[in-house]
Amino acid sequence: MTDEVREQIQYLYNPQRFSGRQLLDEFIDRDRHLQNILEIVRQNTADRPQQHVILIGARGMGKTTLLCALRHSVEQDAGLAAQWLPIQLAEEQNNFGDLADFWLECLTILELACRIFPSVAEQLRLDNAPQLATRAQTEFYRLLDTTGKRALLLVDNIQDVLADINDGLALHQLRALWMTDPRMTVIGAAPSMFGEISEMDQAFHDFFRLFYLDRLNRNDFEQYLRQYAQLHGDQQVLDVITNKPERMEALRIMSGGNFRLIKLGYQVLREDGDLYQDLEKLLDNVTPFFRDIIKNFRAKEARRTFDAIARHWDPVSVDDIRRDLRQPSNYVSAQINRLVKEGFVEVVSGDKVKRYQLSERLYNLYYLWRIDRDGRKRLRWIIPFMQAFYCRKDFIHWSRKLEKELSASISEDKRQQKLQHLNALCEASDNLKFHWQAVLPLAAAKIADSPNDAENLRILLTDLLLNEAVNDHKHHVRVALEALEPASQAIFEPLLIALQAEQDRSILYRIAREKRDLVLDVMQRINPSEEPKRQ
Amino acid sequence: MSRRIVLGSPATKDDYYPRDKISRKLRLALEVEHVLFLGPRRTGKTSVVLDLREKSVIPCIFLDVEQFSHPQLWIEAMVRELSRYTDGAGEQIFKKIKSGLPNLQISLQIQDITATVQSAEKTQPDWRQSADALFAALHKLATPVWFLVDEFPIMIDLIAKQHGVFLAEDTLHWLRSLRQQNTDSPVRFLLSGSIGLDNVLRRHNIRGVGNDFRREELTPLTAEEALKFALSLAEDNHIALQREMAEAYIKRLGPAIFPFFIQLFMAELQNIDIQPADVNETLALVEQIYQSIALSNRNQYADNMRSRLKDMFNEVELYVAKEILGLAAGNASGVSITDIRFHLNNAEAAEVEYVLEVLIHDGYLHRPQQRKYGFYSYLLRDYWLEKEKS
Repeated sequence: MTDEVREQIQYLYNPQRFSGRQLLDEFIDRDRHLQNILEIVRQNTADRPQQHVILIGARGMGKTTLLCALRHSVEQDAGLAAQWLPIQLAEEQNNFGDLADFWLECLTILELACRIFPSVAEQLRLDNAPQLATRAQTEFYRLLDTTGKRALLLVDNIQDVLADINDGLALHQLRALWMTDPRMTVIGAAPSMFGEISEMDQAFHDFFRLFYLDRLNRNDFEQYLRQYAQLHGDQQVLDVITNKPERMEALRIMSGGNFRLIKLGYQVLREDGDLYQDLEKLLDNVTPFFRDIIKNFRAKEARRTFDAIARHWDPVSVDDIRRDLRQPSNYVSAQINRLVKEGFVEVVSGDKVKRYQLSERLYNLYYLWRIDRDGRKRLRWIIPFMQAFYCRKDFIHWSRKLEKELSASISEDKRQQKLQHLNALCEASDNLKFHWQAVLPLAAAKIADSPNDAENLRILLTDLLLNEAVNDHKHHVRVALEALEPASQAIFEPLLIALQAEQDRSILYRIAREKRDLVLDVMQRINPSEEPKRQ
Repeated sequence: MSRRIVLGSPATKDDYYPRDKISRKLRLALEVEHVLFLGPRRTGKTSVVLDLREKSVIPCIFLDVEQFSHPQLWIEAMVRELSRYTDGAGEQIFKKIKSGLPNLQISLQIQDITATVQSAEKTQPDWRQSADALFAALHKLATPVWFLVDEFPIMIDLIAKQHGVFLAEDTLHWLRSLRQQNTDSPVRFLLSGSIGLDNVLRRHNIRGVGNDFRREELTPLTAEEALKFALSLAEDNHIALQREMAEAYIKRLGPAIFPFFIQLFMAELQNIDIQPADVNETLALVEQIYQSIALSNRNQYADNMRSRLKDMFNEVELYVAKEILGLAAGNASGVSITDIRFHLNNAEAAEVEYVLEVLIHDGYLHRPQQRKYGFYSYLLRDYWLEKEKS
């Protein structure tokens, strides 16, 4: 990995390192949200209750970057800077035990911004006087008033801050203060909805305006990638978008529409390659950041549970894990809940049974690819199928390509190989429509035996099967696919799942998000008039 | 000043969409009696109450009592808020009554609130003595004061759960005696809440203490009012909202059109960058936004309504309620009482009647012209259907 790439990646994880100008120049990720929130700040005049905001988005969706962009935007806008003083709490705030810690931290940051020395906050900490929270709060507002500005409090991981205060009455007081005192507007960020704002008996229930930082859909993704490439003058990436859509689609699916992962993948699109190479390079780039994650679990139980969930890749229930770990359900549930609370694992909703998967999807890929001995084998299907599905080439195209290759000057061995290939294609195309169950296993076995040589056959078969499915022969295709040997079946797994999901939608909740995205694309191709609902 | 899209905290001052009819009703009612003003969350009750405080010439003391688990905390909060009242008349009231409150032992310094509150939890002082002293002093003054007490039923529920039904009952009896023995007192209570007081009383088997309030309800906006609100909100926030789009969305909401739902729509519109080219695209976009509001976890209104059912009913009633709601959700034209009775033939008729009454009163169902029961809010109905599916 080059130093430039390493630096880029470090910045992806720590957007605070960007200078204001640098960050805002490149900020195309969530510009609409940025403008809307700045408008809210502008409208939060000093004579009325403030509208407070929370950004909700999974890890890597751009929450921290958006908070940084808000800070820099306010600092660089003369009108806003005259009224507002941004106060940004650290992303990992591990020293909060109560409301006093919260106010002391706010006061410390404000003192730094105002270059106040000696620090009153430090003195208050040392004195540990009674009513510490109230004193720190009073000092904070006293100092703030001297600036003639109001505070724009930016709180990453606000769910942890509110949970750490851990005192219902203190939280109610904080709510009452934020509801009535116009001297502070709070912009928080959290990876998901959390108890303090979603449960009815909690102080901050329904208190904030929520902005959801959703995954990018296909259109937004392409638009974003194009914009990002234009911003960096990357003609090579623009060419990939136009000429090798399968690489772009693969990045969309592998990244799950997650900004951090898209930017990581973007580095890969800058170079020549195919999907295998793209994935290899992507995982190579993230190795320094992912290497130690699992080692950092001190508790053996947590490590084993995490490992079991990662190895499954698809969402798993407690029952699935219980068998792997040979432990009772309540033990497994406790371990999983801990991992969920710490953000390593997320709950997949939509099914009756609660299922879990690793939150950082790229890490899961990394895990299977680099750590799990069988993982790479398990992921192999996805790349060839994506190549076949997204390259949007058809049988005629591939036949012509082969004919062209045959007419060129090549060795006799190669010629024979390609002729056999062409024969296989023609045979398959003629027979498949009428003898699905007889021909498909043979063709699939041929592909499974020689994955590299059989690329064209795989593409042709996929194309034919899809066309047949579109032409209302879904049942026959499904039966034929279900009858295949597991190794052969794996090649067409997304198509098979798509056909099965037409009968039973709950299947979609039991497969990993990346696979689900691909399956939904297949379903849409089979039923173009329907837009399947993405989760 | 322009009106903001306010989500979360109550809309006040310029952000508030005037609900003149209910404001007038509440004002007139409070001049003569105490009022119970109940309705589900997100219908704008607190905004109405805060507007009443804003515009009233009579000193109004607003209190959110949701977190109080002991009547002493409530009484202390009333005194504290009274002391903070900055209007001339209010300050005067407090100065006059302060000397008459020797037994309250309430420190009015902000920094002492936590300690006082905690000590109240621990020591449980004779709260009745404090309460009587406060109201005797207020009564003597003969100056009108309106206490606007938000989430009162939740406080009663919390008192009962944490300190026993006896204390909850005692609190309500004290309030009742205050109302009945001081009929010439100008002090008034407006008790508001997002859960029904009757349900709380029934659950704790408390009788005969809540039925002498005048009851007022917050009715939804009419389609015309909602349209006017939507268009003005769009204009103030520079959102390109076509009239047809607003009309289509309002129609989609069903009978329960509350300002919050319009605010939600505007917030969604603000976050997307699509201008539909024709009627079909407009309708498709409205449907897309409606679905994203109704079916996702953004629909906090419906999520609350769904989860609070278990706080409203016992196990059997909950089963009956879910069955009725399931029937109503599954039939676009609603469900008749005959069908409900047929479906729930094992349930006691009185139980079914009671559950239906609560579901109507608490904003789940409505029954236009005494015909079939249907969902009051389509946002709730569609959320319900989605949840039932999974």
